[in-house]
This record gives sequence, structure tokens and C-alpha cells, in this order.
Amino acid sequence: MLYGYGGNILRIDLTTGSITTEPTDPKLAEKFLGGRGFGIYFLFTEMPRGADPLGPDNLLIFSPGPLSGTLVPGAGKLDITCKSPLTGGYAGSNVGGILTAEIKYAGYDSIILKGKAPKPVYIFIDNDKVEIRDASDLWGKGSLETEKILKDRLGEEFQIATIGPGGENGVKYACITTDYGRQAGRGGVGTVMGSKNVKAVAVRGNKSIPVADVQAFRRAARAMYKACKDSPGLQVWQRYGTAGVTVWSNEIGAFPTRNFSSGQLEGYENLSGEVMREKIVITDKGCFGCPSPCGKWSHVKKYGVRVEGPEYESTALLGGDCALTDIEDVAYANYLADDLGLDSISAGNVIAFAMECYERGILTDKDTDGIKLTFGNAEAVFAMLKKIAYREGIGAVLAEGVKHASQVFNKGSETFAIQAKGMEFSGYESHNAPSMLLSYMTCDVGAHHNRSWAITYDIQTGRDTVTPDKAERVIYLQHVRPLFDALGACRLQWVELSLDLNLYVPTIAALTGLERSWDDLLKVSERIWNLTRLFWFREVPGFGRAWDMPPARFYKEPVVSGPTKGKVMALEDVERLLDMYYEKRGWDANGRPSPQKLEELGLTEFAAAV
Amino acid sequence: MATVELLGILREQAKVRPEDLGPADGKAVADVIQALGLPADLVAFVMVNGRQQPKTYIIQPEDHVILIPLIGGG
Ligand code: SF4
Repeated sequence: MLYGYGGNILRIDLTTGSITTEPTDPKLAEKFLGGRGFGIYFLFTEMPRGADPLGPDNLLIFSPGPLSGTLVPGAGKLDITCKSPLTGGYAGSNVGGILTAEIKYAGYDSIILKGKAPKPVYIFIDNDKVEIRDASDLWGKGSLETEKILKDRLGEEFQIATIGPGGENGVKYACITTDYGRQAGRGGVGTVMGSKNVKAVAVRGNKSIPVADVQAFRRAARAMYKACKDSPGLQVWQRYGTAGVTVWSNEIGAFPTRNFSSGQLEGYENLSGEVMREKIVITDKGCFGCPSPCGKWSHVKKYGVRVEGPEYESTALLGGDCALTDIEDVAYANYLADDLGLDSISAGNVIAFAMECYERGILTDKDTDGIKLTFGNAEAVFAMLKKIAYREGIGAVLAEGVKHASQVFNKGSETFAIQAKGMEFSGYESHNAPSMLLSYMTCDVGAHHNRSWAITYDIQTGRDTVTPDKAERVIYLQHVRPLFDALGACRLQWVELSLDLNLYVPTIAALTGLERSWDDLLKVSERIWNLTRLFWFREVPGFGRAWDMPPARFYKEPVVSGPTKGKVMALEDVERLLDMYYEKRGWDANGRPSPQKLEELGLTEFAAAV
Repeated sequence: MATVELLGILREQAKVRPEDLGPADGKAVADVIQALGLPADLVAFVMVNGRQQPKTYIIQPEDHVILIPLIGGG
């Protein structure tokens, strides 16, 4: 008996219509845990090398983890993995809501989609009953409307993942939405779903998860709950969610403003968590089993819509980076991105880039179809989101991502295309934060903060210094934080409520029946990290050090205003930081894992395929 | 009298304990942070009676001020 798992891997071939299941391999569970670990394992071993990300050979893999759907606080996280159409490398995107629990209760540890349906379909999963159903009537509809229609049709207890027009039209950063506002946003997982003609996945499960020692598990999980409820951090986290960060981020010059030219926005007070709470928030909204619901359900009166959020990240990119200063404008842009099925981070970043191009004269009214694409113009942001989703006019170029757009617009715009590995930066301005910049440079999906977030470390240790401990800190975080994505649980109880990491150890032991130390779990996380790295080397011709470099803005163009005004990193410091990072990881000067490191992690057989 | 509470690493990093500071009433939060010997940027949230306030906020008698760092991040 494989305790703590759904017990099966479900494979759906959309080309042939074949649907099969097989038992989850206990050895796989031991070596890769689940969630993102299973995702990269199946992607690496089953996707043919060099597959077109938008072709039938790419896989789209939904994986809960061993903690998903259990009593553990925040047990509502799902990993979605595929080869990224945005970067050409690895995409692993994490999403909350309730879907992960439902997949687990239906008995699955991974659902692997491959092939391409001949016409629009949705996947229907009711425990063991799995069908590919016609979705012609849903194609073209928004993400949120699609979810509502399927809930009405199938019943409230079905949990549903959808794509919007962005995913249907091949926007390279299209997202997958569930629970009316939770997104697997990054890397184009929604684009891949659209390329397979899959509009939605609907799941219901009624089975139970086998637990090795029920009494011990209840005790351990309840101790975790109690620690969350007793945490003094709960009041700020529950009242504001991620939006609580906005004020501080501005204060320290980390709030991306006008395409990362500054870290402080004049008028940011109007975007604060408190203003948001007073003006638009109706209620709190949490994922499955969450004691600290950070989601905020908002009613945007000015535009007559309801939206989950905006989260800090959406406010940072659609707000600060585009210089919008009215929380209702930002919330409406967030709503549009959600319903159109676009990653609000990449979309905001891309629009801010286009705004800078417009203000510099690289783009003109002729290019924008007359839209005045100036910073602060909310109507222009709304219009661009629609143009991108439907690939109209300049939207067709911007739909390819900021790296591609800068190559098309040229005229030096590559300097301020704020991306790494082809993925747009998320919400922390990092001119004066070496550890945070390194986090973005080396993140395994492209420039995202979820694997390592190190601003406070920079503040503690000095924002101008480049020292080996910074690389060490980033590596530590890159193992701890994504470990939660392998376990299928939320990291924010640890991050925001200071939940003691040691509490997870007895909980996992009681659930799975396997005693695993925290160090042992971190080793699994390091194994996963190195396998994603090998995937990049296998899939991206010429992959290496250059892919880990940030855009030149961070080492050539000083910050123009705010508390970090004038700050810029020296190129040699950026390079030095990367050298330190590679050395500490056991990688060579081109960022390739050494044979010794791979052997230590039990990955030698995988290296043979690279 | 207003009370000031520190969370997480702020407790370890403060050079003075809040209770040894003397009354905080009438002072700006930023001044209290300085008097505690804390780098202002380490204080991510200022919560006063359950509401987030800027560091310019002037502490009132009976206020309960909690200073919170952000360690793990978003
Ligand atoms: S803290 Fe937020 S993201 Fe995490 S489980 Fe709770 S509601 Fe979901």
C-alpha cells in the first residue's frame, strides 16, 4: 500500500482517445515525492527530445503531491508541468484552489495529457470514469464563464480548470485558471492546453487517501493547524494577503515601476492593501484546507465586475510597472487578464515594455492602432490585454513575450526587455538586491520569484555587496520553497506564519509510513532542481550561462528615482555572483551539473539522455 | 499607554527591548523603529490595532503596535 498517495497515474492520449491507468510506482514516490517532482520525471522520461512545445508530443501533466487533500494546513496545491512555449525549456506552474484535492480523491497522483484532440474537448473525470467530451460550445468563452457553465452542468462538487481565449489563440504566456481566480500562471501551461484543443478539465473524487498511522497523523496535522492559528502573523496575512506587501515594497524601492526603471511609484498609497480592503474587497477566499486565507474576493464597482485579487504580483506588474495608481483600474485589468486567460505577471510586464517603447518613439500610433500607450493610461492597458489575447495588430507580437517582441522592435529595446530565459520578471525590482537578482537569473522556469525570494536577506547582509553567502542563501531557498510544490502543499504557512518546518517531518512520517528527515527531503528537492536543469540542456540548443544572465538594464542603467536611485550592478559583479552560484551547486562554468553532482543525486542515468 | 510588539527576527535584531524604551505614545513609528536599533527596511508591516499603517503613523495612547518582518517572501 502506497500511503499518502492517490495510487494511480492516469494517461490520456487526445489524438487516439486512449485512456489508461497504472499504479503509482513506490520507487518514484521515494525518489521524486510527487507534484513537481513527478511532473519533471514524466516530462523528462516520456516527452520525445526536441518536441515542439505546441505540438502533440508535448505533455501537460497535472500532479498533486502526497500532502494534497490531507489534513495538513494549505494542502491545496497542484503542479502543472510541460515544456514551455514561452521559454522552450521547463515550465512547472503551481496553483491553489480545490482541484488538487479532487484529483487526489479521484485516485490520481498525475494526470498526463498527450497528443492533440481533433476538435475542442474537455476532460471529464468522475473517479474511475474518465471521458473526453465535446467542448465546441465552450470554445471562445472566457475562463471564468467556462468554469461557471461547467459547474452548472456537472455540479458544484466538480473542480474545474479552464483556459480562456489567450490559451486558445496561442498567447505564449496563457494561464490555466481554477476556482474562479487561482492561476497556474507562468510559462504558458494554458498555451499548451489550448494547443491540445482542451478547453477544460473537470474532476470529482470521492475516495479516501490511505494514511499509515491515522491517529499520529491527526495529532501531527492538528499541531500544525494550531501553530498557524496561534501565529501573530495571521492577522496581517488574513486581512491583506499578498497585497500587504505593496507599501513595504515601495518603501524599499522594490516595487517595479515603469518597466523596472524605478522601484517606487508616486501614488502607490492608492494601491495599498488597506485601500484595497476598504474599497473593493468583499471577503477572504482560501484554497483547500487553508487556515490563513490570503485570497481576496473583490467587487470592482467602477467596472461592475468581481475578481479574485488583485494579488501583490498583479498589482506590481499591471499596476506599478504600467504606472496605474487606482486600485479599481488594476483590479479590472486583473479581471480581464483572468477571463482572457493571460498570466497577469507576463502580460503586465509585456505591456510596460511596450509603453516604454512607445514613449521612446520605438513604437508609434501607427503600430498601436492609435492607442496612446503611455505609462499610467489604464484604458490602454485594457485595450492591449484584449489585443494580446486575440492577437490583433501589435498584440500578435506582444503575445510572443517580451524577449521576442524586443527582437522584433529592435532599436536597443533588448536592454529593457525585462526577462530571463525568455520569461518576464515578476514583481521585485532588483537593481539593488543581488540575491534577488540571482534568484531571478537562476530560477528554473525563467524569471520568477516563487523558487527563491531573498530581498530581506539582501537588506540584512547589504544591498551593495556580492558575497558567496548570497549564492548559498539562494540555493537553500531554491530547495526549500519548491519542496512544497513537490509535497503538494502551500509554502505560505511557513513563509508568512513562521510555521516551524520541523512540524512537517512527523506529519509526513505518519501519513506515508516513511521516516524522512528534513535533510533527506531537501535532497529530493535538489534532485528535482538538477533534473529540471538537465531538461533545459537537453531541449534548448546551446543552453548555458548566457541563459542565466539578466537584461542589461540591471547592470547598465541606474535606477531613475526612489530610495535606490542611481543604483546599478556592475557586470563583473553579476558574473561573479553567477560563478559563486555555479560553484556552490557543483555545476561547471557553463552552468551544467557535474558528473559527480549527478551521481550524488542519483541522476546519472538521466544525464545519458542529454 | 501604547504597547509595541516585535515578531520573528526583529526580536533578535533589536538592540533595545520595546518595554525598555519608555512610552511610545506621540512618537512616529519610524522613530520607535530607530530607537529599537532596527534597520527600517527590515520592518515589512506595521500593524496598529489590526490595521496596516505607514511608518509615519503617530502612535496614540492605548494603541497596540506590532512590527512584522518578511523573511520567506511572497
Ligand atoms: S495561504 Fe493563500 S495560497 Fe496558501 S493555501 Fe492559503 S489561500 Fe491558498
